[in-house]
Amino acid sequence: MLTYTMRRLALAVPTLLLISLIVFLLLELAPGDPMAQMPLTIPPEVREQMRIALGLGEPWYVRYVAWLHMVFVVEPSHMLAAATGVDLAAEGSRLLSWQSRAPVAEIIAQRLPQTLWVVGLSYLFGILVAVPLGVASARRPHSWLDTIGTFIAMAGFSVPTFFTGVLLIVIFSVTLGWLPSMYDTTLEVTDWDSLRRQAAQLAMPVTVLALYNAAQISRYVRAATLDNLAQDYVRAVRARGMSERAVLYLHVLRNAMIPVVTVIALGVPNIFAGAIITEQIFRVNGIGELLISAIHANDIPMVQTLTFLFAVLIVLFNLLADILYGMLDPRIRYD
Amino acid sequence: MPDRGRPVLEVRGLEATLTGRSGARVQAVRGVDFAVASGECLGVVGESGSGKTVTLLALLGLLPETAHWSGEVRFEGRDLLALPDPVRRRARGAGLGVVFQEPLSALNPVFSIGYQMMEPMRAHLGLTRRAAAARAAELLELVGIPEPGARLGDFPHQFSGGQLQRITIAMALACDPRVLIADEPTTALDVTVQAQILALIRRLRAELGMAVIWVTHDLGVVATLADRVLVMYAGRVIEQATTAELLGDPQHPYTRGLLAAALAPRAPRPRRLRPIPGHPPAVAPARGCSFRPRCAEALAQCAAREPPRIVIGPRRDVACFWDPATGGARDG
Repeated sequence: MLTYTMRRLALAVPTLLLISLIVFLLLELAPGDPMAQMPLTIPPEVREQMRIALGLGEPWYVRYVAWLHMVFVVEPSHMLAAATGVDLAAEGSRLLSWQSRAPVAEIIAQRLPQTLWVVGLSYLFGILVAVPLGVASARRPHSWLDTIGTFIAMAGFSVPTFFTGVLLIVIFSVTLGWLPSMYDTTLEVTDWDSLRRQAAQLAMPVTVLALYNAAQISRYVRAATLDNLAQDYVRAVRARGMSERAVLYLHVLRNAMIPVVTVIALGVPNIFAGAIITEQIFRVNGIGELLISAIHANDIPMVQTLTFLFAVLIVLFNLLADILYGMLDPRIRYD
Repeated sequence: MPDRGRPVLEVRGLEATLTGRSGARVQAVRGVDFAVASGECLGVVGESGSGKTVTLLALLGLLPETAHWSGEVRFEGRDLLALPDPVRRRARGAGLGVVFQEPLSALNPVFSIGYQMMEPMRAHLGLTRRAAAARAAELLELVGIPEPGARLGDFPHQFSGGQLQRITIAMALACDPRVLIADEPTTALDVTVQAQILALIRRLRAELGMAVIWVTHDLGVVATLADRVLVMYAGRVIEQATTAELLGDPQHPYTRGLLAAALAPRAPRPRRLRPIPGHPPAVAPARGCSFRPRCAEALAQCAAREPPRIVIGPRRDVACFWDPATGGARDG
């Protein structure tokens, strides 16, 4: 398993390099001018100077290698220095956002916690709802519980998050006034009161995303459970006189979790991407919001780095899914 | 010595109706009665769809929730179907050991065989993990798995088909069952392995003194293993006799047809096999004997009503109006 993991990690390096190159070239081809938001009073020759200062005068491969150098050498050494105080003194300037002139890594580090809170909690709640719901639905197919589960899944799956999000804002913020419609990043959790406020501002974005996640996962859980309940081994376990609870929550669930865990692991990067819209609605200034504003401003270093970050997540969670699959299913051995 | 007289498991008037996916109902078991005593081996024969497996599942309480069943299943004097669920589960799990047809699919692929063997021991016998593991290793030794202690942690896919069937037999023996119920356990195995399994069952039966119910469509297996045989057709028991009587003097035209369609192992010259014409009915006809459409000996009364079970000897009965001795109607 360890050699397999190592081999997969080594293979991930060329994959990620290729992805970063493709992203870079796509951004290179895309129309748009990083100077577009500058005041029109700036004379053209000054604009040209500013472009050259951003490195836009260099050919694309020089800029690509510079980006690689900054992302893989300069920024990690700065992060290490900030975290432990060990300064490797890596040469070269830091990767700056064109929009704010601040290091890209630091902006991402500021924005990441909000996204992790919203995305992480919604995924957690989604799974906590989906697994029991899916199992209960499969236990008695076409019962009232299964019908409700199917309805929730269909609604959660087919109604987009920007609709449910706005709907919740209209109900709970505008009409009832219970929950804030905007996310306040400056809020620090120090006591009970601030914890309650944090929970209140997380409630709606987390609910919207959790509903969406639960809708998908519960369908997988239901299908996998139904599939396993029809297997011969279930009858054999019952014949041995084991309780229905042991049959369902031990034997069947353990088997049903094999495909479900894979789906959950593969879905994590999607969730980050899916959170982009939800973050816009609830004004959560997380990664998704950062990406959107960077695209609007033609902030190419920021867009490039964020896109690359998503690519890293996808590759890593693919690997994680494969490793979990091997751990859950004894019939799969990678070595 | 096991008490051969009193039945340990007795089934009376067992009926089961299955509901298909489309909602169609099939009466799969229609009034089955039989009894099996300690140390006795009862063979249940019949072709596919004759209700053998449904009878077993019904008496074990393992029919799907959409099925309806009625009747009495007395195990050691208690009516299993009337007991509350947890009591019945325990009585069934500990007292009746079951071996299914396909050993690989009858085992959970993601749990080690040791865990699966120990689970009922810990639940029904209250053994500790350590004691259960020791007993599981003993049982594996008993059924002839080499290095049993080392293999408890292995998963089902790491064994061969024959080994797996031995393991499921060992699993069925886990809680010292009074009755071992086997549903075509050798069908999926090749002939040499089948012979090994049959020898194993014979040995275990002698050593442990349990009753065995062996469901099969193989008359050869019945001849080597069973003391007594039930022949099932279209959800009914149509003939019941000792193995010697059944093979030597079959009464029902269907049993006679089955024997004519089987190879005689020591016949001087291979004879031509005679198949029974036609197919078994999916649903029994509303009136008359369900075998009548395929029966060469059918009499006038066979179309009018279903023949009742006629007792023709000690523990011997047949559900047929025709008498092979006279070639005419029976007086019963």
